[in-house]
Amino acid sequence: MSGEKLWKKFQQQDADDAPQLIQLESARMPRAGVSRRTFIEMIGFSAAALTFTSCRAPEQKIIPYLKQPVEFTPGVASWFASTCGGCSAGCGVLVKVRDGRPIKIEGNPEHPLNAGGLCAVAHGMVFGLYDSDRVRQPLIASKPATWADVDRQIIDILAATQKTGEKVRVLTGTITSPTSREAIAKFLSQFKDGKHVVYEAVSTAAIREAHARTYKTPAIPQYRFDKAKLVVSFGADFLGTWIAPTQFTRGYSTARDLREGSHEMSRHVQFESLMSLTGSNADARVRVSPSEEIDALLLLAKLVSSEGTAAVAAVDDSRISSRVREAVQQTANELLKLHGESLVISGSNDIDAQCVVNAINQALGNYGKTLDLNATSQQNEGADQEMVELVREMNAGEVGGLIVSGVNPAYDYYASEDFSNALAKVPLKISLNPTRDETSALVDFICPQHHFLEAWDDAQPVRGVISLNQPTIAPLFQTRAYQESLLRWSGDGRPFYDVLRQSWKEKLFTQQKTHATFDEFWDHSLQDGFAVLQTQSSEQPSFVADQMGKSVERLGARSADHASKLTALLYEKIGLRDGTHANNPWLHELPDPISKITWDNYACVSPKLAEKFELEEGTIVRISNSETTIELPAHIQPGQHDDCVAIALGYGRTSAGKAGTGIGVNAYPLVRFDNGTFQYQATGIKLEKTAARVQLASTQLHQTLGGRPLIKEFTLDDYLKKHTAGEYPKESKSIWKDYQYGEHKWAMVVDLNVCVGCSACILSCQAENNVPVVGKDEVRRQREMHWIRLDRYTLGSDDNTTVEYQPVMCNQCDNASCESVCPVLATVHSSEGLNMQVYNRCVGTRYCENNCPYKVRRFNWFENQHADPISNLALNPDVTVRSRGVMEKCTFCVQRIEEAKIHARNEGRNIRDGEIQTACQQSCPAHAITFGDLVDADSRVGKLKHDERDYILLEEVNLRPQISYLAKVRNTEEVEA
Amino acid sequence: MAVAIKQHHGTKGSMDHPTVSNLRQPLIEGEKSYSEVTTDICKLLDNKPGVGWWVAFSVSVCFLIAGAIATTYTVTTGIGTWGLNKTIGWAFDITNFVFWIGIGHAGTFISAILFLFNQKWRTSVNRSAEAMTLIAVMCAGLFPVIHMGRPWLFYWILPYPNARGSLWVNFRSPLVWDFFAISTYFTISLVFWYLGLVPDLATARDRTISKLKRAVYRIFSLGWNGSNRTWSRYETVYLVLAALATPLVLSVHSIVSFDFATSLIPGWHSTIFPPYFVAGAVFSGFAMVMTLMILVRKLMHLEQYITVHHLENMCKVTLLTGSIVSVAYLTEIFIGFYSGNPNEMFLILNRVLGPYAWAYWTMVTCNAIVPQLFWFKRVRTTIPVIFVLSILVNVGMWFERFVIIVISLHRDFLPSSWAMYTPTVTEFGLLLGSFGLFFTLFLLFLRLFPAISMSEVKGVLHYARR
Repeated sequence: MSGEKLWKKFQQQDADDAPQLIQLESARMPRAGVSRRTFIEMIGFSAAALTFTSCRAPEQKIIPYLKQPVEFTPGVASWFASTCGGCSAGCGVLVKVRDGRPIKIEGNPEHPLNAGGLCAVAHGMVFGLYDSDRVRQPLIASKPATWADVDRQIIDILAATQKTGEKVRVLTGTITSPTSREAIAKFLSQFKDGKHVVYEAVSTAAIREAHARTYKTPAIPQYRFDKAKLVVSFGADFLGTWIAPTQFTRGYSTARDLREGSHEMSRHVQFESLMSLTGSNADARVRVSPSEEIDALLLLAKLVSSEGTAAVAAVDDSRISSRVREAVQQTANELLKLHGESLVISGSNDIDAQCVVNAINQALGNYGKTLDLNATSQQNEGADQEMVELVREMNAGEVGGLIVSGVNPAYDYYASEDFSNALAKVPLKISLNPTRDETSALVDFICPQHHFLEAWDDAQPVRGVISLNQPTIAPLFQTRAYQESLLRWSGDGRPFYDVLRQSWKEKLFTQQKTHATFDEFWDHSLQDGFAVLQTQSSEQPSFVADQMGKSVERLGARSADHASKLTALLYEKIGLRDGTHANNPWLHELPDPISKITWDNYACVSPKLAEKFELEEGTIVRISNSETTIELPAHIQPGQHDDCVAIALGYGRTSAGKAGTGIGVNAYPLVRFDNGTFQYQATGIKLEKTAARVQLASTQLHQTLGGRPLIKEFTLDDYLKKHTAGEYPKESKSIWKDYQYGEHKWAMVVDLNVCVGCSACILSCQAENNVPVVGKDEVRRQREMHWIRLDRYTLGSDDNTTVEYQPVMCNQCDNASCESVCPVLATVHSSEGLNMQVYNRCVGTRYCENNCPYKVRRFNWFENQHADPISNLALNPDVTVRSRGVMEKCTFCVQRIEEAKIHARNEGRNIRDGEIQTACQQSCPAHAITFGDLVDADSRVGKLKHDERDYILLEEVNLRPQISYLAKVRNTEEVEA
Repeated sequence: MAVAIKQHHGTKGSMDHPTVSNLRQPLIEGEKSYSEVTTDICKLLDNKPGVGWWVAFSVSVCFLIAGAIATTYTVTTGIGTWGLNKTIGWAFDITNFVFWIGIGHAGTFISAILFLFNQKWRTSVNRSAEAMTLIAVMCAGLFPVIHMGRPWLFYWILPYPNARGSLWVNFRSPLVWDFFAISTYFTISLVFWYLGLVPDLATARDRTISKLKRAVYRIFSLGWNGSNRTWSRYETVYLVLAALATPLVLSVHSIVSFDFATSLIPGWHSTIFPPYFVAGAVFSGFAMVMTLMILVRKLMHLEQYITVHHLENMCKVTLLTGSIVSVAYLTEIFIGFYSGNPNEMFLILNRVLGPYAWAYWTMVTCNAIVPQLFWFKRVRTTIPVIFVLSILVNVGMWFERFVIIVISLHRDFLPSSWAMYTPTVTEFGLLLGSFGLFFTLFLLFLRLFPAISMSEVKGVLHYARR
């Protein structure tokens, strides 16, 4: 209505103005009759017009909404709180939806677990949604079918199964959602022998089993890294891949943050064989062989234990070397001083080892303080024994129906062939997996489930914290929530949304007191993305030491047996994790923070081992034991122990999709099932060199600093004695006039002390800024496109290797060396201190790239964007997609700055400090990056620029960048020179 | 002007001047008369070319085609077809560019500077050397265009009024300076070369029997009538242009060197670059003139016009400039360490001992050691040896630019970004193609224009005669 009025008014005005306009126009018109001159002009103009109009790019019309949805403005993003489905850690996320498409996932800053941080995998999930290799409709025997057909056939077969009373099994990954578990239970209750088996390819079952043994509580405790003043980890990669890395990184960095006047930081000791992300951050990293790791753990138990002393006193510590013994002794002394303020963990999936860890924590009084058995974690709940039992049952022909959802044992089960053969014996095989993976390829029915961004769900990763998962896009394909499939097959035709609401109303609404009505509770929870419930805090259960003796005995025997045998250690990489998301090219191209290698897995060997076998980087090695043989390239990894070879899991998928099939080698066959759990190491392997050699796609070819002072580092003592990092006076004289900044001067400070190198920033930036993936060959040619990279330098000797990380993105220099050399003014300085790249002006001389000392500029060597109508939906419409031949680089997320400026202007206020968060900053689980306005005197970034640890990378070049770094501090005695 | 009288018949040797001192050797052998000179030179235009020319032309055109394929592939597919990467943004492209610009130095040096210094021997070689200059600058000019990510927008680096606001170029960018320096140099060289051609074009006009040729020569000889007044004005303008061209010889390569000198990469950021580049350019230019002249005198049978004496003189210039370049190499090493700057010291060590040390030592061998052989008169007067050495000098000078560009870039400030560069077939195709273009155009020049300045050679015929 009002629109129509406006129109009328406008037209009215138009008519009023008309006579004047006509007058003006007539004044400009040529006199009657066409002069020769005008004629020639017209001819010339028409010829030019005819010629040039035919040169234009084809026009594409934008069609507006006929009916615009409520609360929806085209071009303005909406944010929806949800829960990440990338792994079972259940981080709270905010999903950015532009014009009906989710285009970015960010951590929910309010969420109690991850507090705004997110990991690399989570960022990759957007790409997973638009994966064109997803199964697009239900399939019966690989042929497209309708849901009605599928349902009818399955219900018929299930009815028959009900009659025969055969076993029916639902095999899933960890499901932290109480409502989904109910749905599964409801489905299984129809059968005489129905059971839900939870399987995790990379399992931490031993922790739960150990707690069942020592506390009679089968649960994974909640680890509180923020409360621990000393963290001692035996091979647990808790910052990279272990249980809930984002949440743990958040806690860990909180305890180590030295900004804004804090003078205390926790200490971290890591005993490990391979070089993990966590180990690389440790204040003291003790390199041990896999058997020494057990010895060290036992010795530590002996030194600190009060309970179960009898058992651990018998520990045979004769094998342990003096170097390790000294380190353990020192650690024990430190631990004993910090009663209830330390945390000892182990990454082993061996129940005995975890029992000993429990004993140590018990002795140190950590339960109830840094470990919580009340608000237990439900993340990674794989039950290894049950999975093995399931395969046995299937093999024996006892299972009448198997429904697989979200797991892929035909690929990642340690004996995947056994599983596949056993699966063939199951009469009814249904896969609810979203892709046609190795397991789905073997089943009768594929009933594809939604991507988590299309589905309703809830999650309770930690008891008391319950998150909601809401759809942010209508399903792209004919998929269906797996819970809905199961419910339908149990005669319940409701949509899962109704089930979820009802379950919340009945179970959760009653547990809270904040909201009076359920609708209010639901709306609030949906808006927040989570609800925190009261957990009844009961006493921590008491320690049961009765089986400790046997555990210690078994561990001792194993360590003696394994001593100085070559062991294959199987680990997860932070990008690909267990291989579930192997069809995601973002994750494949994410450089591993330790090796900097992309698109491959490899056998990490220590420099000494490489020398012994005459291996070079990329030499193909054959690794074999009695069960299996694999061949893969070697990577020489400083800091790794000479008695082990580390191989990443999650690679070598045979049926992942366009991006993931055939990348790397499958190392799962080396996993063993032993002592009730999966063991991610194989002892007594044989390593052979082959004649072949390949080039690994590494993004960083030089590993050392070469004596250059690029990363500044102090010991905590030195720092407290007021050392400053910057070498040059802050206000230096120049014969040139400085830029005068009026309204804003954007700047950034990166704290190297809390940065752990998790690389989430790289993928966050990639998702935000439409950074293309270039593939393995192009990475080999050193042409990866990431706008932010994580430089990694290795220092020190074999036994004392330290690793330094430094995120480097465009430094937005005042005296920018790129700006002065561009012949066409394609890179210019903004009035707000930004160094802007004008893509449509760039002709691609690459002079700026050459002249940038930080080497942060990225050139489009080819046309990198491809016309994939589905995966292109992941592109951010706020950021230009760059064409071939154009230089690009970090912009400080200028689109976010502009958006915030518009908001502030509309609301008639100044931009608040912290209102603008760059993509890298937002995603950082450690909150290492601070961004803000230096013109604002009270801004946090301005204050940090005056921190004693503040320094500028390559300050001597005097480019006056807007980015500075806060020096790293290690809580240790001496530091590598 | 008196008509020259032939004094000898049938003798071709030059050794029959026993009374003439070494310094007064005749510049043109064979006791030529004016008409003989005219006939000898114009014969090249009138007659069908010999087998040698055809062979050379075919080979050159093959190279040119290879280059055209490489260029098409690059332009249609992207710069990714080259071996460049995130660290090394320039390699073969700009190496070739600077190399050809350097080659383009000798022509104007010979025709302008030697003219001003009254070096009479320049007359036999200046026409070809100037043509070589123009062609080399054309070859050079291709690379800045091809090396762009979006070469179809190359005209954006020209400052012209436009409808973009108006958006000008960045006058702070050495690439823009390059454009001005090179286009000025090319224009002056072209005018200078053309001016020198006018009397000879008139001669060709008057001799030719083909109507078409006559029409073309008539237009381009600008109504030359050989009158005293014409000659007098011609010589004045020639002198003025020579004086104008002389500073350009020095400025072009100085400005090309600013591409590097004003950057901040260790190995580029160096005040020694302008003189060092100019000396290097003259060095490589003379070497290329020698290579070409040895070929020309053989292919076109001009042994009497381009004599050992000419080559020897050019060897001496090469020796001098080669020695200047050698001093520059030593200075770079000294300054690298004297600066106390760890980045500079590392650069020197990386050049001398790093993964591209072979390129550095090729450069040192060819540019610093090889020209020292020219101290020996035997070397300076043995044509096959000069031929080989002149080619080696240009190999060395190509590597000099490769060393400066690639070695400096591949390991700069942050070790995390250090990388290696391996050229691709496409890049070799472009290099070959530029040689193809160069020789194709030069061979066409030999057929279409008087390759030796008849009017000027006639002026020195009597030089050193009794």
